[in-house]
Amino acid sequence: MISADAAPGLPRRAGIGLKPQHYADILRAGPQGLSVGWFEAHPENYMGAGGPPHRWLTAIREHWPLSLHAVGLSLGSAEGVDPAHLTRLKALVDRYQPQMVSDHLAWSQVDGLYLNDLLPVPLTATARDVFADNIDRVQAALKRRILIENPSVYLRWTGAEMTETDLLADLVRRTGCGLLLDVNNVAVSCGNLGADPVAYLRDFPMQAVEEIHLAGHAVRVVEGQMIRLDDHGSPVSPDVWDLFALTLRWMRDRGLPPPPTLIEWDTDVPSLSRWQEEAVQANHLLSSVWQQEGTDDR
Amino acid sequence: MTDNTVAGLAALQQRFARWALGQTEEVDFVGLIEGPGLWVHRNTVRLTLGDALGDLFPVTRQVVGDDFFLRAAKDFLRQEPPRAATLLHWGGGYPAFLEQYAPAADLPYLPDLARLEWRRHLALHGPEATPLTAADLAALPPEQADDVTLCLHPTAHLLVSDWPVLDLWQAHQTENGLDRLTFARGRQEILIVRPHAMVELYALPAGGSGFLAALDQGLAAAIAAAMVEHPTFDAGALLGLALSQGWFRSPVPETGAE
Repeated sequence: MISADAAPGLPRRAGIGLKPQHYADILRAGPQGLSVGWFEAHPENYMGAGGPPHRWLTAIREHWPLSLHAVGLSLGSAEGVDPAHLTRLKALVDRYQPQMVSDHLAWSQVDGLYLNDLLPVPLTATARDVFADNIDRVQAALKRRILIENPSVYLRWTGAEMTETDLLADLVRRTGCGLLLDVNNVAVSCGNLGADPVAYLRDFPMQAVEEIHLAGHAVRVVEGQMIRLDDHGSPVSPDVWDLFALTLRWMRDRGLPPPPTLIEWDTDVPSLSRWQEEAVQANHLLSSVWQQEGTDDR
Repeated sequence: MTDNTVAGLAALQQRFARWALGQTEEVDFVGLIEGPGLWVHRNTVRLTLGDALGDLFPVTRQVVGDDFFLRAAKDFLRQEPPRAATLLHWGGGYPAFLEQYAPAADLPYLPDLARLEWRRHLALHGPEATPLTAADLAALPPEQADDVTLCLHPTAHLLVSDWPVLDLWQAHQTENGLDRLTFARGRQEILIVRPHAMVELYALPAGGSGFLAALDQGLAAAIAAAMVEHPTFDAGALLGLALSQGWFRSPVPETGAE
């Protein structure tokens, strides 16, 4: 299947996050020396006028496809997207021509305050309309589609009028955006809300999935309750690998191509070679599932 | 009870933000299922922003220690939360905050140390510009050379402190650096600049900061500015160093420009 986009998308294999401590190692290894097909960076870290971050990203972009994964658009903000932030993001998109741009089903900014966290929004028609308007505005400004990621959730607001998966499906229909399925977030959110991750995945609008995220999470006890923390500070956990494999089989069975898959790691960041091992494992699943076409039972 | 309008959502987000930043202790969220999740978000907001501030002011953090630093960071966050969704622009008010911060009153050099770190950060992420060289100047026709305005590189920042904060900063860059640190030197004039990939820090001779700051009014005015308080100031020596280290930006001539 060929992507509907005129511009070629991300390679349909594993990529990893781009971290400053790896810049030099990455360029030393070169595309032939790494089992990593692409890199993902947070644009908010590259919003200075100049300096080393731009110098490195420019050099790396010459050799690898790039995804810009935003954390600051605050698409769930009732007051709308911060125009100054959108202008900064557009400048980066124009400069680096990334293969993919994405952000989250969350909010982080209100009243001129920025909270540096991805906060949940009530699952209401009002919130959906806010998201849709904000996504329309971003896509119009960037002149391209973006992907929306399912967030890691620690609480629910009362008065839900729809499920998160229905809300995401609505956004795809109304804005034409694609989805970024974070399988680790599915495990984290369902664990925290007492929901079934397999049922969540069954309801997820797979046809719209154009990228997958995998990461590790921590399990802690907070105020007497066990809670899964989305800290991206460890290898991908076995249950997340299982959910990933299940997702891939379902995508394959619906005639979808292998999705570009990112291994995230944001705290206790390992060596480049350790990180690559996770990418190799993801690549192995991506190729083996599509080789076993139709031989699995569901 | 829940207000399901856009205005209601905006009001909910405003209340949540003030609570997460610690500006209010009142948990007043109609329509919220309470649980540890609420506290996870408050912790994430405060811890990640405290860490981000620590990354901006690593030596300040070392000087006061982690506990003190993170406590002060919470107070700073309450007063001056980030205003943009990139943390590269947040923290400029922290040195002034330290000046007013009673628990830090017995460390009078701390605000200037933080100023040095903030200006380093600004230089690191400042605009790129090709530095002016002595060869560029020599290549100018003589009639232009007389009218040259020397402009500091756009990443250049000056700092004058009553304390040797550059020495203090440098002492924290090596393992046993603090053993040799002395406050006897007193006042320090400092230039922070990034002509190429790396930020460079220079202790200027007395009068040097006034000279560099006044250069955009012309060389004669700059020399006069430096010599008011420092009659032995050697402009030639400092200009030579400046040109060899890339403290000015190219292109040179802005003759005739208003």
